[in-house]
Amino acid sequence: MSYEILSLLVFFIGLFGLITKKDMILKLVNLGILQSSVVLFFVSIAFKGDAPIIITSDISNYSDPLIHSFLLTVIVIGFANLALMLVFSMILSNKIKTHVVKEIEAKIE
Amino acid sequence: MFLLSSIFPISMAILSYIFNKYHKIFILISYIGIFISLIISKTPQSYIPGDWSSSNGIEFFFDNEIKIVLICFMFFSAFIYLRFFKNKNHEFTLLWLILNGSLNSFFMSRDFFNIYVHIELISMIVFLILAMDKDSTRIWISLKYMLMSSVALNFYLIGVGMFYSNTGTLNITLSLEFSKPLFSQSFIITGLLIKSGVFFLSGWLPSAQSEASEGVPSILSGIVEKIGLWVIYLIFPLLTFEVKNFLLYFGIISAILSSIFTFLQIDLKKLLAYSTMTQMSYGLIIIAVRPEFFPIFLIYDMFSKGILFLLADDLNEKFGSKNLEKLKNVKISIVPYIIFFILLFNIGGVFPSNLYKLKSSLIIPLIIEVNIFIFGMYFTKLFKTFHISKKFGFKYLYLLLVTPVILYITYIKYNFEISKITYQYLLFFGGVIFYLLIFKKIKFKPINIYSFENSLIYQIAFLLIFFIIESLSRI
Repeated sequence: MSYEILSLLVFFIGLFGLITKKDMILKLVNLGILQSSVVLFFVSIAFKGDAPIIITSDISNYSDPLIHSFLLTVIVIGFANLALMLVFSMILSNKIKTHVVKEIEAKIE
Repeated sequence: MFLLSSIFPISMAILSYIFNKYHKIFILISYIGIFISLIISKTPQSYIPGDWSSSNGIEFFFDNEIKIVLICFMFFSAFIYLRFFKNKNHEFTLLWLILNGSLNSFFMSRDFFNIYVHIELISMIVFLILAMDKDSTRIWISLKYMLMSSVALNFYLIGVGMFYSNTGTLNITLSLEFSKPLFSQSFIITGLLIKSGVFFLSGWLPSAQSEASEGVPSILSGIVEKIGLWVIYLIFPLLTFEVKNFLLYFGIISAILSSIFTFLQIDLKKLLAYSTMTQMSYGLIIIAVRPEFFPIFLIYDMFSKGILFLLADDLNEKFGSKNLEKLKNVKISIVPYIIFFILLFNIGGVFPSNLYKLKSSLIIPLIIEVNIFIFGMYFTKLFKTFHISKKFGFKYLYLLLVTPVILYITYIKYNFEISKITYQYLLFFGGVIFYLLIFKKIKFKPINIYSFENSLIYQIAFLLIFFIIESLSRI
């Protein structure tokens, strides 16, 4: 339970950074923190002390392996999204010479 | 067999990229393949790859409702592509076909995680399509959309994790029997509403729809924005009574406010974008009151909104502007002019529009009819801007065939109440007269409430309100 609360705490730290940081790259770093907290949350749901991670009919106490396989997908998608966002930020900063969100908004919108 | 409707376009997408000279032939084969696979697939049926139990496996489900939605979507998608295919290259075709394939399997998915993967896939393709021409504005709107979408889907995942810790399954149908952990509904619904384009939460929507290249706003407004609402429609039986009520009232407030913002816009595509927000709110109201009508809403709104954006794109291309002040007194050919105002009226909620027929079957607070007054105002605003020319507009003749079909879609048994219709028309003409009286005296200016940071703050504020509602419902 403590890991779950910790992961939610990290989630809100990431969210806070995402709102308060002015620089686009720092926002993306905070988004990475937020995504990691989701992964930690799922791991903490599945984790049960020393219990094995294999489901068989004769073992009732086990760490859920299903959620770990799903997490691989979450990590890959998160990585792809973050990479694409960084590429877009790079193209944008090459064109309008700034990473600061308010300046980008002022120049573009 | 029904999964071929998803596998086929994705395979054709890869082939169209390899043999790029023939990409238009592959898209034709793809649509024929989708149509055949949808038509010959028996209903209802479900499929779990690998023969896992439904509690651990990924379930795909196919019934008549999904069949009709997907066939309509196929025609809609083909219609939009055919309209703009001359200007699109093989890279666009690749993304377009993958988008079609992933949307098809999204509608068949019946578990939380598979839905998450599909929404991510659809979103990533939309980001790439939006920023395809590497224009600074489009890259920025795509980046903004991407960041908000990531936050939304992380909310969704946290909620799904909470559900899973309680139920031990990700299957939506199997989850129905279990109790709902505190705050899980708040996270899931907030995430989905950010993706759905409702007012307050979807700061990415107005700029994404107004700045996207031709054809893209049609598909965004027509189908992509509805995927969040579709998931809410699927999980609606899971939600508690208090949450359902909250969604109904949020839908009403959001519909009225987005209508006011629609009226304030001076950019034609932004005006339509805000009216999409109104429609999404109506979608939420329909789900909250009569969920069985949601697929009907999805189909008629897909065509109405898609064609409206298509006509707006054409006006932008022809007159080089989407600013209503610059478009003042421009003359439009007879057919597109009539179709534009019929479809605009169709989403306004006045008799005999599609929205009226759906609304008449719902028991909802009367305050929602304020929207008709505001609709009367922006309908007149557009009516005064455009003028009809003597040209017939043969290019748009096909729309004359499509529009009656759209109007027929909601041919459901509805209550024909003379008093209600009279009252609605009084409100509508009240809006028209009010606009005519004040438009010369007061200059309305659009207000931008969706700066990047503000949009995120609205989302957090909504999440906190949802937390309070969910906590109170437990006391």
